Amino acid sequence: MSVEFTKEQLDYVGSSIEEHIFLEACPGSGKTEVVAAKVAKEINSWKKNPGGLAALSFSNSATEELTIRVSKYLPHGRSMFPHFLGTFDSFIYKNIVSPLSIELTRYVGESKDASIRIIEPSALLGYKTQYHYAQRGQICAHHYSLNLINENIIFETGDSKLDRALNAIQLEDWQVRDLKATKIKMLGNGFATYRDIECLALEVLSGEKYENFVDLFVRRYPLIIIDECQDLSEEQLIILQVLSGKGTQLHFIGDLHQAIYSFRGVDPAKVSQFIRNNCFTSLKLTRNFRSCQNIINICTKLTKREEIIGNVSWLDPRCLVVQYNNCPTELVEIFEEKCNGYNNNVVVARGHSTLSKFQASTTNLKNIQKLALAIKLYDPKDMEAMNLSLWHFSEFIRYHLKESYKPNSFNCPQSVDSSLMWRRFLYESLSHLINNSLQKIDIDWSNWVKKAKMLIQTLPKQSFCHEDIARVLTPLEKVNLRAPSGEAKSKVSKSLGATAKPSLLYRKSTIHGAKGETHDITIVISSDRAGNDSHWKSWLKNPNSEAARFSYVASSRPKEYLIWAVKTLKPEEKEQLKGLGFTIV
Amino acid sequence: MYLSTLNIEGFRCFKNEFEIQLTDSLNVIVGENGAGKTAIISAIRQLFHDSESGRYSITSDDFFTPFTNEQSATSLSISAEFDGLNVEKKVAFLPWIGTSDTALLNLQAENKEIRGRFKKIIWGGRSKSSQFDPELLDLIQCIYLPPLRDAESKLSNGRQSRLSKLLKALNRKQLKQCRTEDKLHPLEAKLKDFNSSLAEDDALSISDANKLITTNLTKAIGHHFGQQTSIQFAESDFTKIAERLTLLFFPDMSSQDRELFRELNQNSLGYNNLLYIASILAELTFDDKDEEQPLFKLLLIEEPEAHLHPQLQVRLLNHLKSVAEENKNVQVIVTTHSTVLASSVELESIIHLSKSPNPIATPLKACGLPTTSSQFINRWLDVTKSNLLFAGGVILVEGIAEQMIIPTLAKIVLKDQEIGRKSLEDLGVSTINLNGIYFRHFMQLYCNIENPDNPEERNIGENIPVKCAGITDLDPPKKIPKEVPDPEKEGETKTIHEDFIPFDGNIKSGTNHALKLVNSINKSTNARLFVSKYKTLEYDLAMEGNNAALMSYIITSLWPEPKTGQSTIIEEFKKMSTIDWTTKTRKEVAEAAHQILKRIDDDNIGKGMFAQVMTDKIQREHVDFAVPEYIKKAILWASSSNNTEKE
Repeated sequence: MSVEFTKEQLDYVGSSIEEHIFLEACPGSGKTEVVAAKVAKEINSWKKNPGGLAALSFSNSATEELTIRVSKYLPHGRSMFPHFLGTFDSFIYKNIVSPLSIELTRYVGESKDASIRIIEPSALLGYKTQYHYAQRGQICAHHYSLNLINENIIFETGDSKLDRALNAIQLEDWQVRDLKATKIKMLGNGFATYRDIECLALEVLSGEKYENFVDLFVRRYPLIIIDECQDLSEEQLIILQVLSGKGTQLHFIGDLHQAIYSFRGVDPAKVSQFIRNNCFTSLKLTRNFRSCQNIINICTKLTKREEIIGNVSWLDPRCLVVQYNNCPTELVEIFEEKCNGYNNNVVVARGHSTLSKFQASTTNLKNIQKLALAIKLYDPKDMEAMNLSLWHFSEFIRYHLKESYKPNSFNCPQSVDSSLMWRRFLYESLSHLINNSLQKIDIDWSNWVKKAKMLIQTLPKQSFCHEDIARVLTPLEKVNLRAPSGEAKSKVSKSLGATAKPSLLYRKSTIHGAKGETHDITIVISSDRAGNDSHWKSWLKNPNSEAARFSYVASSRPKEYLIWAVKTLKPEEKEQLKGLGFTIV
Repeated sequence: MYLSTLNIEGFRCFKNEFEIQLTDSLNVIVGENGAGKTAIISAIRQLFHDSESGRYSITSDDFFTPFTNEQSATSLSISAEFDGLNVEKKVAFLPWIGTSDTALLNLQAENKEIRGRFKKIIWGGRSKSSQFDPELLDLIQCIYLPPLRDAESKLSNGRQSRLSKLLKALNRKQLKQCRTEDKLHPLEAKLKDFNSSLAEDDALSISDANKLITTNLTKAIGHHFGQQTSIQFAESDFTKIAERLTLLFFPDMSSQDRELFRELNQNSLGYNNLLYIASILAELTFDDKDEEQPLFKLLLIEEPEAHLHPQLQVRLLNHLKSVAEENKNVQVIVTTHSTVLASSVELESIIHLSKSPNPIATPLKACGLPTTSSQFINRWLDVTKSNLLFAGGVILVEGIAEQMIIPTLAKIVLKDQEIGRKSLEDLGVSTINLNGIYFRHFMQLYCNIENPDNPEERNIGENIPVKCAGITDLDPPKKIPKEVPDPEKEGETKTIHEDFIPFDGNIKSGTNHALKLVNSINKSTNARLFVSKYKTLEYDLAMEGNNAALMSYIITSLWPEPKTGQSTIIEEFKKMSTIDWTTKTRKEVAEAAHQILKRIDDDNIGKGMFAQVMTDKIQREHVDFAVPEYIKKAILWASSSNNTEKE
């Protein structure tokens, strides 16, 4: 391997696996490479058979990246056995909950397989409570979870209004009993949400019944390396606490300044408490190989962190603030000018709503509009449009089916084995609809829907529709499609937003999506309304707040230029930003 | 660690779920042909990578196909459970275990062919979604020896030869170390030195030969196109050298002179087979505590008796047993048709497999045999008695006479049956001579017997699902006390003992201790104990029809003629043989039967001799002979085994 490591990096690679270690890695510090080198080194000199190490991250993409980099250090064809590289969720699901599924859920399984199927709130599943809640009727068992830490119930229905209403209820004992009984019924039939899986894992780790298993488990995984440890939730920390209490050594790698998952119950203070309580040895990576010093200096101020050393300092301004009057899309020309000559430029914002201003579609689409949009976006030459087209179409289909879905697979129903087959089906169906001239959308809704209904109802009978998929699609045969209310006579093309291509060709990403990335130029869009964590003022208010960390994550992405796009500034606001180190354009 | 339970469904001859329990050391699977012995071995081979006979992928024949117009099975499923895991193994196999103590491995395949392949899914534990490391399968070493094995070719040199595998296993650690240090293995170094010494030694003319070749080549094609040559033993790397090595033999242990050893093709088939198995056992029992060392080794041998004479069979099996017992991680499973093997191994190792639409495996140790019974059977199960393990039906008898007569009587009983069911041989029913009244021990294999003294106490266990009939004598008291007027003291009586001659209306209960078992045996599904009506076999035979005449005739032919004069006994029985006994009263017949039995029991004839002559006579001359009811029932019971469903 040709990578040369700094002393800081080598210190970690050579660190002991017989103690807890926290490696605090600043942005751009080559953290992933260091973790990969560490994992590879331990795999090569592993002496703890039949145990193995677990290197855990929080997304499939991070896991893939790590696996690829680790394999580079290992001889070709060497398998990872007995080690585990994967996400925290899959680690728990595959190694703790699945092997014990029968004891935990009483689900006996089908043909010797008692795998628990994971479902998301949007799934149509009929395990409902006996009683009604908050005047909103019975609640589905996959729309809430038990919080074992505070012993309360958290509602996650996928509808934020409803969540607020339900979470506000002071639950009586009989209501809790009802909710628990319904949950047990759902588990007993082999379904669980991600949070349920975590609960079940906690049950294993805290119950005497499973003590023997946990003892063996700790010997199976005597070392757990956590990448992006700032994303550990409270439940996950409890799980790790039990394991470390039994002898597992923990290596945490991450940056508490980049913790942006409070909506998942992640609190970096808890992580840091955990690190203190368990007497981790602290190591640091303080060299930023990504950004120029100009950008680093601003970032440092955002969360008030210690000095970080960058690659180069430039004399010309590298951190810019550009202003818009009403809508950030006004700035497209300036962006294009600034980005001229650079390839990897990304527009980043806190929420989808800001980003969507750069996209062509309207938000809050009715289901039938999703179908129309899918057809409109269909363009085999443009992968981004094609992706959106398939996604909208899958959303449309999903609405009508009674199924649970696999994640990240265009809403592929659980009962369809192959996601590939499903994607093919989506593509063939779209082509079929287009071949039957459904893409003519300059007609009124009522006529278009009539045609669409006939085509959708016969979809399961088409030759490209595999029998497994056709079985899932049966509800479509009787589906009834209607024009969006009040728009029967208006043109389809009119109520789908502008038909123009997306206004800016750069990739758009939320801050969460951009985490860990490296860009040439990052354009951070602040919302036009102050008072929430997507506005720049909130970012600067309190360096310990999550809002500050949002801006930190976004602003530490670029190598060359950092551009903040904000709504027109007052003079004192300009001064504030200049004080940070920005140049106002 | 060992394979404790195997569940099979939809595979080969197993339509419905089939379960077999195995023990941790030696397992001997016995049963009729077609019972499913090979199917069990094949199921195990599906689960693991077999290092001896190559990979065996699923074919369409592996799915259960009925001999009717029904469809073959849509899927097959094989599950194996492992027991006896220590902590280290539990850690290794953790997702297979969960909270239980045993590890579970499952295989399913759908009967759907995709370009000649059948998709199979393997998972550990109870959920497919559990972590599954295919590498764990490599930690289970499975070696399979087919019934028709070519020991000679396996042992001779060549690619993947047995010797090279063994040598590599022995040198695994050293080889690994040499590779990391980039050094030559001592064997490689030795051969390299040898090669160069050959090339340099002028006395060997090898270098001359080489020089000649080079010169001629150069002359032919010139310097520009020239090539270098070298004459040596080609192999330089460990595997290649090991594959070139050859095993030689000498017929006994005496020779010290290597020159006298010969190549294997001059050896006997049997000895080559033994050598082959020995080389495998050497590898199996070798443990270098390496991390790549298999955690568990499974040896599957079909018909180890192949090519071996009985004494060697027994020696080999005993050795396999000791290997399995001494090495905790080695389990041996053999299938056999050899009564020699079956009788030489202890009952605990034997697993009986019944041939029926749904085959059933019965480990004999699970039959609930009390220790005394299993010890007894272990001692008594000789080559002829172990026939019962391969029979489709069993008739247990007390002595040699029954053993000889019953097959003949069966022909009479079964003569009206359809072709193919006319004799015990046709039906695969064996008559087993217990040499005594040992039903209590043997019949526990077929049914749960109550303790006659304490009906509450039953030996509960699995039963071999084969019809078993026992035939025993009533054995009433030989003499009975009788009050007769005392000839010495007038008016008084005295007790004398006179012969008891039972006949209809004058029957006394027997003294045979097996009679107490009848009730509990006859409640079972498979076993029945049938008791003679009057007294003993010969007596009861004589009581039937006109049998007494034939039997009397046989006595006349067997009774020794006196050197001079006439034998009163022969004269008497001559007379008896001409009588039509069916016209006589039962009491008269009984008197005759009593006389007949007395003479058969006499040292001048003997029961065995009589039975043999009578059997010959009935068979050859097709003499009419009446079969007593209890024997008839026993024969019909034992031969009803194959159509249990029709009943």
